[in-house]
Amino acid sequence: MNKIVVEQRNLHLNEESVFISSVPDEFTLYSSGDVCVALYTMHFTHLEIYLERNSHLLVEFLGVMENQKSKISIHSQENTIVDFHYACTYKQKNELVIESIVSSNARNYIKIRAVEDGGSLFIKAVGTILEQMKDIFYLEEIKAIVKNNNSITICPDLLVHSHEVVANHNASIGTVSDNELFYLKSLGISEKQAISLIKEGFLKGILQIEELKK
Amino acid sequence: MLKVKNLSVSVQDKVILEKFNLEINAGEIHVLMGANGAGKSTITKVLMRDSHYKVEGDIFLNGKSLLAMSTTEVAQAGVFLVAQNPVEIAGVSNAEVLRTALNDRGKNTMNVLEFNRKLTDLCKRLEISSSFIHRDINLNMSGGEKKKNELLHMWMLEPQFIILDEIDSGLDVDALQVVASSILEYYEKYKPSILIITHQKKLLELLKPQFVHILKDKKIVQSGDYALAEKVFLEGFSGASVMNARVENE
Ligand SMILES: Nc1ncnc2c1ncn2[C@@H]1O[C@H](COP(=O)(O)OP(=O)(O)OP(=O)(O)O)[C@@H](O)[C@H]1O
Ligand SMILES: [Mg+2]
Repeated sequence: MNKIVVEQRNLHLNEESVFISSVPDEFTLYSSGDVCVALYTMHFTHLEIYLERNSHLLVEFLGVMENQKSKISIHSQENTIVDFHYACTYKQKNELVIESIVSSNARNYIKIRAVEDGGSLFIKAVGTILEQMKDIFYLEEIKAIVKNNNSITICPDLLVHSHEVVANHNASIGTVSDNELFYLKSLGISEKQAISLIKEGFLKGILQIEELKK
Repeated sequence: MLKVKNLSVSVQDKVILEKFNLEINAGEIHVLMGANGAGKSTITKVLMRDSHYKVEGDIFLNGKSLLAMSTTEVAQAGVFLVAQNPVEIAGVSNAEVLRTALNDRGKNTMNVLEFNRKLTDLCKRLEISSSFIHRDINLNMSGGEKKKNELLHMWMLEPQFIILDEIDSGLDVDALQVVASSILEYYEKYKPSILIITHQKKLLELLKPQFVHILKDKKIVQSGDYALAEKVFLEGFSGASVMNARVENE
């Protein structure tokens, strides 16, 4: 796989798949047609995404947040689909703001998976659906595996000014499942390895681009 | 191989097993029968050192105290459980788990190609698609596929003591044949000890256990040969043979 390093502040993608290992601190992505983007970095402060009409964007993030404050803004025009998958391990103190501005006939699927590695994470997800926008599906799903429940704060914010909207927010925070751990240990896997398999699997579970490549 | 002596098991102050005794030697096939809720699955989990249960008494595995071992150690000592309800784990594939399990045992002598070839061959013999190799553990698999998937693990890990907790439940006629033949083939090749738990006659007819035990009132109230299983299928657990046995035991 070729991972690219993006140095310019704007990137235009049309009908393509790219794997990105690094981006500038402030960065804008313009997407048209069917686009898949995998970002293996969490080092940016503001990422803006613009979707053209009738386009579909699958954007996935995998990496470690460490003392990171990031904001991601998604602006989607009419008749678009956004599959947004963000999978991170967090250390130290972090903040993630995801802001979506959704137009008519849009489907936004926002999935976030976070695994604590001794640190804290504040997540704010703001979905804004403007007046007169119709046929919108907005789903926000945040799941975290933590050692300590206080290490994560989830702050959903749905600003819905329209009636023809299905908007869903769900969040679940838990520790590594006892049953899963027991199952892996019963196969002779050490506790340490079992925990890391479960955490990795939990993160990778929402990522599709690696799957698509197979 | 396995000796359970005077075992008491409780969970949240509820006693599930009391004065439970069982001995299984190398190469023997045993079946444990008992009504729903009798405690059959409980003993399988206790043997795997599930930490939910409070346990008193002794269990010896090859002369060593099993209760002093961790779940990982019990598995590495050659015990393998096909659970009644195999757990699903998203994002963790069969291949990954098996490679890790073999590595952690220091038994991963195969290179990637050999490893894949072995898995592919096993899938064929178990009549499941070779795509199972890279599927998430039991995720979105049908009931029958899960059981076959567990046998895939068994063949890869080569255990010497196998516990099958209702491996026949939810299997269609053909799948039951495939599963039973696979177990028999494994038995012929490795001569492991097997502890079967089932409510159905068919699997026992195919696997022909030499020893049958009835679990009732928290302990084994009667043991015998295959004829005892047939009696149970005829009379049930409150039938005359089992009732009398209980009186004898007290
Ligand atoms: N972890 C647990 N917490 C609470 N109760 C439990 C637990 N495990 C088992 N039990 C209880 O212990 C009893 C025995 O359960 P077990 O699953 O061992 O039965 P079983 O013999 O396997 O039944 P079945 O034939 O229905 O599978 C049941 O009443 C069950 O509710
Ligand atoms: Mg059971």
